[in-house]
Amino acid sequence: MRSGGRIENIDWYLLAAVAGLCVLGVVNLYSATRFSKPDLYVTQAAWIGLGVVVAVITAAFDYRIYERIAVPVYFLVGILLVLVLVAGTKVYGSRRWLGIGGLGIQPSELAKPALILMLAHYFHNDERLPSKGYSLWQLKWPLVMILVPVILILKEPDLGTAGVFLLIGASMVMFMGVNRKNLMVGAAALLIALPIAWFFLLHDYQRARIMSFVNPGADALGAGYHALQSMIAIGSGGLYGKGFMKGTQTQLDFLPEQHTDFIFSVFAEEWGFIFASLVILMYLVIIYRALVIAGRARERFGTLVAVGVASMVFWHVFINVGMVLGLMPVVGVTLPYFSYGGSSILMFMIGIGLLINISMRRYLF
Amino acid sequence: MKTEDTHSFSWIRIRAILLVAMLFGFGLAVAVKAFELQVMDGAKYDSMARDQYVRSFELPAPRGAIFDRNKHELAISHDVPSVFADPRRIHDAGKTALALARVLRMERGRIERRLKSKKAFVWIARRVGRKEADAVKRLKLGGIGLTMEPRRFYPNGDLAAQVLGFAGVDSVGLEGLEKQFDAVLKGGDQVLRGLRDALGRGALLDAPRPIESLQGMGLVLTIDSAIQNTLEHALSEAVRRSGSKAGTGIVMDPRNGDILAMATEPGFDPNKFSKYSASRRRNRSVTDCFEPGSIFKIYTYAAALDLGVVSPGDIINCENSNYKVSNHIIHDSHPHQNLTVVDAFKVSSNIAAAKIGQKLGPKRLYGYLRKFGFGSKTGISLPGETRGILSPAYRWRPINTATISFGQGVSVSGIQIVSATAAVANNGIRMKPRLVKSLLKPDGSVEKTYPPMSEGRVIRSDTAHELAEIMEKVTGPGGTGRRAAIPGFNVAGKTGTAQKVDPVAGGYSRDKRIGSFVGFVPVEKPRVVVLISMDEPKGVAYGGVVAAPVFAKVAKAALTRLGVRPLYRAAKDGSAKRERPDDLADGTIQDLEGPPPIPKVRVESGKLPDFSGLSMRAVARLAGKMGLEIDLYGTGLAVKQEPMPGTVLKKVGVCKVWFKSLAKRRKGA
Repeated sequence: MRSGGRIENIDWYLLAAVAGLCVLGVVNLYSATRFSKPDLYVTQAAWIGLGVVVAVITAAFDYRIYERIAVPVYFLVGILLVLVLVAGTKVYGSRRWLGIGGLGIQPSELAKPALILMLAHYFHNDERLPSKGYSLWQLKWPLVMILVPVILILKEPDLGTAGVFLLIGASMVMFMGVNRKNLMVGAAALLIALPIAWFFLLHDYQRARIMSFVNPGADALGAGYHALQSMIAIGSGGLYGKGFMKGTQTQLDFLPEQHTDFIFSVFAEEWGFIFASLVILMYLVIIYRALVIAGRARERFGTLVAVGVASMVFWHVFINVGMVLGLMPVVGVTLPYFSYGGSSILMFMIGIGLLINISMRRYLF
Repeated sequence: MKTEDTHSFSWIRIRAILLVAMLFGFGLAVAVKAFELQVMDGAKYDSMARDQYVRSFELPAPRGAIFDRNKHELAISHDVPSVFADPRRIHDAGKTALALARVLRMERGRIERRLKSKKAFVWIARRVGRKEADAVKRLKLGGIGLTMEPRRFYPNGDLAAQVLGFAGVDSVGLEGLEKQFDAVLKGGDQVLRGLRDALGRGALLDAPRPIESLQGMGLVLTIDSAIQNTLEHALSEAVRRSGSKAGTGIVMDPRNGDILAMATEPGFDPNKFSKYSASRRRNRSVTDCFEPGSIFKIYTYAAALDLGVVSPGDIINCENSNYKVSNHIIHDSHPHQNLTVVDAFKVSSNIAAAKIGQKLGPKRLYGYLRKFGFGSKTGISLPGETRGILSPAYRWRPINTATISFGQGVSVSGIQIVSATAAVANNGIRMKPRLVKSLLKPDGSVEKTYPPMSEGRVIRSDTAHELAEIMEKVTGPGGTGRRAAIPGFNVAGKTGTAQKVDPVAGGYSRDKRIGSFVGFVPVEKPRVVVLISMDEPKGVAYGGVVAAPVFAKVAKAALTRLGVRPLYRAAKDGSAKRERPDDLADGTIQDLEGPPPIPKVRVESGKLPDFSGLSMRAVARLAGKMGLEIDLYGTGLAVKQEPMPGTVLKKVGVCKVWFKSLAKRRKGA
């Protein structure tokens, strides 16, 4: 490796968890799609292969290079986000995809690591470090960095991804510390903004989804259908599951979006509570190791990047699993390494590449 | 900014710990919720899931066959195609309906309405021909499918129709034995479960055929097809000749109560049951009751002889046909003075019967009548049996006692008369009428047999013999039933001519009568009891005229069929034991067709066998074994086929087989 790093400092717990999730993910995807899209699991495996290559490349260069190229990367992704609004492929009424040849990528997914790098770059070079935390005014630039992609993504529209952007950004900002008074003001502003957003910003379908979350049974065949079907699938799986490829709700197509957003329902139905808990535990291992890496990083940029990646994984898992379990409203957020989708896989592989990179180079001086 | 101050580092650590705590919180929330869904409420969601994907089908299992006592088929089931649709998969209902209407020769609007239903399954046409089914298949319409459904065939047409009854389109027995034994014939649980996907597909992709094991039980009857056939023909001829509204007949084996034949003419063809009125489909022997008239004297005399109230040689004053009871006057058809008990019976004196009844008194007469089975159901295994009308003795006024003694003011069913008379024939022991001998499993082995059942002794054995001798005189010279005599046999019986109760005017009708004859033969060792009763004959209505000859014909054929040899040769050379009026001796004993032999079929491998002479069931079974598609036409036994026997199987598409019924062949013979 050009800029050094120690193989023995690689976080093996992290790698084992990721590898385990990838394998289970492909196996589960096979079961979910073997009739409707029989080749999908092969494509997914190919994406994972490509993702591993990308992760290795990401890990190979000293991550301080990323600190230097964070700004151009951020702007490049910004251009892609604008481009997708103009030239994107419309799927289910929203423009989220940029077609390159036969492959489609979602710029909004790749924008997440870019935002993490950008914010880490900003705070890394920030000399202020106020002891009582940042005031909102002091955070004006990070807020701009976060809100620009959020607004672009909302335009697609993609409420879930926009939300995840906000949450990742907020997590990193909070990590840096916010002045308590200002935090209160911010929370109050958010409370006022919510009803405004409800009436003016959200689409009808988005409102219906949130309403159906409050009472999924009320409109079981309409807005509440996804949530209810997911709960039926998971619930009927029981403690030990119905067996691999034997999930009735999955195999008979009762589960919607079973290979993307609701993939965890498939797993929980066929493998049961015990294995579903094990999968959750593996995600917690990843997040926990990411935080450990953050703590051990040799300077602020590494710490912030690791925290950003941890929060990215955390919010994806939290929102997705919360959604399929009926803890949260239905929003389109992927489950890392499980959901089908190249962009999602690449994004999380880049994230893992970054974590490995930071963990390998923690003692280099 | 290459180094961090220690303050900010510890500050970062605190935040890291907070984050880890948050992670645990999240993990806990997820685990609790998943536990709640999967473990606590797992059963609830499991049943919700089942409600979604489990779908049940109900298809009729093949109905069990009905056989006569010699295992000849009377009712069989054969799979025929039916056309159904899944309306949700129909894109253009109008077009589809038009195409189907042409092929099935149905009204287009009717099909279209069904195709527009919101159900997942609708029938378009049940039990269509193979040609129509093939045509539907060739249309290759989306959402339209074919399935095989068992259809009921009655290969002998109207033979024993009222006994068999019929099964409707959903294989539900609606009348007769089909109704009475519906649960048994129908077979086991017919609900088949299948999976269904979110769009409702899957359930209809392959219609499962009913499993063999679900097939219903077979029924073996006591009916003998040949005797049944003779009875029906004799009745139908008599109905035509006498201009009667209907003729009813029952043949029973007195030793065990077996019903050998039971018919009402005109009958109906259960293959087309909907084309006949309910009155023709009714089994009148069982469901209808009538005033028996003089026939009923048998039981009055039986009671009196049994109790020793009278002896055969006693003299009874028949009052010159003018006998007053209370303020009624009883008449005889011919005036008589003093008659012995035997002669009074032979000439059927009402006055003598009334006097005997009076001697017995209501209580004793009623007691005997009850023992003979009147006023209660015989328990024959047929639906809708009547118990008749016999009011209890304490309600009888003197005139009732007198008239009931000769069969007026009492109402009985044909089966009650046969059963009671059979008691006299069977040494005084009455047997319960038996129509079903056994139940057969689908593989042909016996599941259950119904043994003959005794209803107990009615009269002493010597009374029975005494009475039989008296009854024999009826068919002798000078008896009212002499036309019931059968050359070569001694016949015991009794004629009856009853006025029908006029339901409009009240009282007895002047011209509507029932002429009947009941008897048994041979007197020495009775093998058959036969009742013939003709409803509303035109002109002469005497039982001795309209019913007795039919009795002779049927009883004679039955004896031949049962292989009972005549006691003496018919009046050919004068050496006969007894002279018979020549006009009643209608020639030599005619051989009845025995059971049609079941030909052994030589099946040459790869070639079409010769089906001729086989029953429909045998043909169907053989074809099934060979995987041959067959079209069946007509009823009865196979007489013709296309292509010819010996044709190489591979070249045969559909084999057509024509059948002709036993009855038609006999008529031609």
